[in-house]
Parts: sequence; C-alpha cells; structure tokens
Amino acid sequence: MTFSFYDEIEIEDFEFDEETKTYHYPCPCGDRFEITIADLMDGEDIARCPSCSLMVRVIYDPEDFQDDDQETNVEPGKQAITV
Amino acid sequence: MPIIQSNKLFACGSNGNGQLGIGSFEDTNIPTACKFFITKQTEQQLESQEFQLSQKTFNSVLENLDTKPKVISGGGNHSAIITSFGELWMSGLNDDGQSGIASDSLKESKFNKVEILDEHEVRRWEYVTCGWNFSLAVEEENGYIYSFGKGVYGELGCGENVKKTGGRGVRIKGVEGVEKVVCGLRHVVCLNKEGKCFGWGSNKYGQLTKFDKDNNEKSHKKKKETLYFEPVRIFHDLNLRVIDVACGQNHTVVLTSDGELYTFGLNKYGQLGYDFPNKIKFSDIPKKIDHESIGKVKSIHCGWNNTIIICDDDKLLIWGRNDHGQCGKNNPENENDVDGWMDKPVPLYYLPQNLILSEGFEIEECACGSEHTLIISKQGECLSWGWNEHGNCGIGDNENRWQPVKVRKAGNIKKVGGGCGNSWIWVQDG
Repeated sequence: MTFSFYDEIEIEDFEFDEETKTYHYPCPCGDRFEITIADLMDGEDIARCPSCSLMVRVIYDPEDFQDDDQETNVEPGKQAITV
Repeated sequence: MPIIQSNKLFACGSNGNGQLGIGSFEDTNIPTACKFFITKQTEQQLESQEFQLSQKTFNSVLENLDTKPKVISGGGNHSAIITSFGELWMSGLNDDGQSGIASDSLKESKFNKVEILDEHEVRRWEYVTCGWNFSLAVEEENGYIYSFGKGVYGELGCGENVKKTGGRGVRIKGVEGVEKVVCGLRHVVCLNKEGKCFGWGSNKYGQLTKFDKDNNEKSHKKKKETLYFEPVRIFHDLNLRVIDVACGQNHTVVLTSDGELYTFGLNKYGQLGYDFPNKIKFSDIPKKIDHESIGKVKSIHCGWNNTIIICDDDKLLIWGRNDHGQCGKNNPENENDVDGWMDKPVPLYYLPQNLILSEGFEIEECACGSEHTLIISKQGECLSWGWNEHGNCGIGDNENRWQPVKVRKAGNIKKVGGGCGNSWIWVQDG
C-alpha cells in the first residue's frame, strides 16, 4: 500500500481531550485520529487512527506548542474546543 | 428469549463499539445476522400474560422486525433502524446517549428499542439519521425532530446550552412537519413537507449556504461566524421547492421538484461537481449542476467526500474523492489499455462521471457509507465498491474495490444502509 495521508486537518478542527492531553479528529472507520500535545511539542505532525491504516497530517503553528520552560501549562491550540 | 436474531437484516464492517448490532464487538467482512434485544418491559408482558396472548405479542414483535425497515442509518459508532411499524431501534456506542438508551449503558452490541423521551411518548417514527456521536429522529405525527447524544458544534439544534442530551432525547424547537433530516460531520439539514430546508451546526465551508450578516433575527444565533445552534432557514433565495437533501462530511446537495440539482460547501475533492478544487475550495452559494450528462434526477446521495445521483434512465453519476475507489473506475475504452489500468488510480473527479454498471441493472436504491457505496437493483441484486479496509463492502475480504462487486449475501436484497466503514443489508427471503 502506498504511503499517503488521508487528509490534512487544521488543529482548530480537532477536539481536545483534557484528561489524556490528546487532540482527536473523526476517522471514516468510526475511530479517531489522535495526536498528543507532547507529540506536537516534539514537532510531530501525523495523527494516527488506532483502528486502521489511515493517518492525517496536522496543520498547526509550532510556536503555539513551544515548551517555554518546565511549565506544562501549554495553551492548547487557541481555538480548539475542549471536551 | 429476550434476544431475537434476525433472519432478514445483516451487517458487516467496522464494529469496535457494537454498531453493527450483530451481538459482538468484532469487525466482519461477511454480512452477519443482526440481533434485537427485547426490552424487559416487553419480556415481562410476554411472561405475565396468558400463553396464547403472549405468543401473539411475540409473533407481532417478530413480524415487525421481519418486515422491510423504513430507514437504516449508520453513524460514527452507532446505528439506527426504523421498522415498518415505526419503531426506532439503535445499537452501538451510547456513552453520550447517542443510541437513545436512557440508562448508563455505554455500548450495546444488539439493537435496543428507543422508548424513553423527556417530552412525550412517541408512537411512530418516520425518519432517522446517525451522525458522528449524535442521532436525529423524526416522529411521524407532527414531524418533530428529537436529538440524541453529543454535539459541540451545534449539531443538536437545541440552543447553545445543550451540547449533550443523554439517552432521553430533546426536541428541537422551531421545526415541524419534517420529512427528512440528514447530517454531515458537523452540520445538519432537514426538509419539511412544504419543501423548505432548515440547517444548523457548522457552516465553516458554507455547507449551510450564505447567511445575510445584517439579518439579526434572534433565532439566528451565530458564534465565531460559523456555528449555528438552532435551526435557520436555508436555500430559500431561489424560492424553489425542495424534494430531497443529502449531506457529505462538509458539503450539501439539494434536489428540487423540477429535478434540478444544487450543491454547496467544501470542494476539496471536487465533491461540488462543477470545478477543480484548486479553483474553488469551497462555496457558500448554491450552484445548479448543469452537466450535459445529467437527465432528470431521481435521487441524491453523499459519501463523506463524494456525491452520487441516480437519473430517471437508471444512469448513475458520481463525482468527488476517489483515492480509495469511492467513485469507481470504468474499464478503458480501448481494450489494449486493460493491463495495469486499475493500478493507475484517479484521485478525484470534479465533474459528473457515469459509472457503468452491469447490463440491465435497474437501480432501486443506493446507500453511501463514509467512503464506500452500496446499490441494489429492482431484481434484488446488491453491488458495493470503495474503501473496504474493515470489510464494509461485504464481499469476504478487506481489499478496496474500484469497480462494483456483488455483495456476498444470497437472496432478494431490498434495503441497504451505510455508516462509517460499515453496511447493513436487508434480505426479503432470508
């Protein structure tokens, strides 16, 4: 199977799970593409679905996820909706 | 006895939360019999009454579940059926009450009857659509819509304060006489008996059409310019009578009484059907699709990112995303090109394509899943194609299909339904 992204999705379209510090977005299989805040801070931009082969590229501004100091109180993607 | 296995309704595909209703939480690529859980109340009635009477009730339950359902709809992780008697049954994830089960049951692998509502008892249901983690059901008497589940983008249509209903359902105010309600990922469109359309939810890509910014009616509540938490009238400028609506993930298709077709919303994959995505990314202005190949349109259907229309002459036209075979691919015109033909995929079609079906295939019905499609003929034959990673095409394997293939289910197939990576098939003579 060729390696390609299912889609490119802006971070503001992801929903944010406060408990697991994970951003997620619907996958056509019913599960969700997931990426953690830690991944984003590491510069990772691929959100994967745990139930299938599909993945999406996350469009975001790395500056929003910079680790200024030890403080983990990162402001999660300005417009993301908290659930 | 509390569980009845259907010998008519079968399901296949993605099933992580029991949404197929087949009694398990495992995917299957072969259509498998659905199961119905007879509620305690019905069970008690059965036990408490005279044998003959209880047998009669039981037979009527069976008869109801054995008759062709009115509607089958698949959502993100749950599904719904309206039986010929107008009963609403749902299966799958219920963590937000999206399956209409008013208990703390988080998920069910069998269909349960929806019975408890806050406002008043609903005797008969007319229509149902399942969204990502919400459901919208239309009752028959007044054409009121009830919302179930969770929707943070306004999908529930019950005002900005209601983002979660639980399993009891909440009635949407401001719409009545509704005949059909359909939804995309984050937007909803309904159609009433007068041929008028209303919409709510996200309008990020214009999937609810353009709104006049000077229109300050209180019901037109707006947030961040894109979210509508209550129903607003849409597609009314042209003063046309609408007879059918369909929603993709982020686009909307409208069919008028003249058999004309209008599209609006996202065009990332050419799903609007009139221009290349690089030229038009999205549009909030409904545009009539004036393609030479389109005759009088009979019905309209949308996958997440594609659009299908069935014309009067049984022609199937399809456009939009095609990276997994969602729109299919005809054989080459020149027979010498057959070698390697299928290995050269076409990622999208931004103009209507005539997908050629087998000779004499008279289309009876069509149902789209997120990235796959099912059609049935008047003769009861069922074909499927598209993304098949979860076995949702029902053909016994998980390979994507670029051309329609016969679903592995014997019998006279009379009704189909599609969801997120899954399918439902109703067979007349099981």
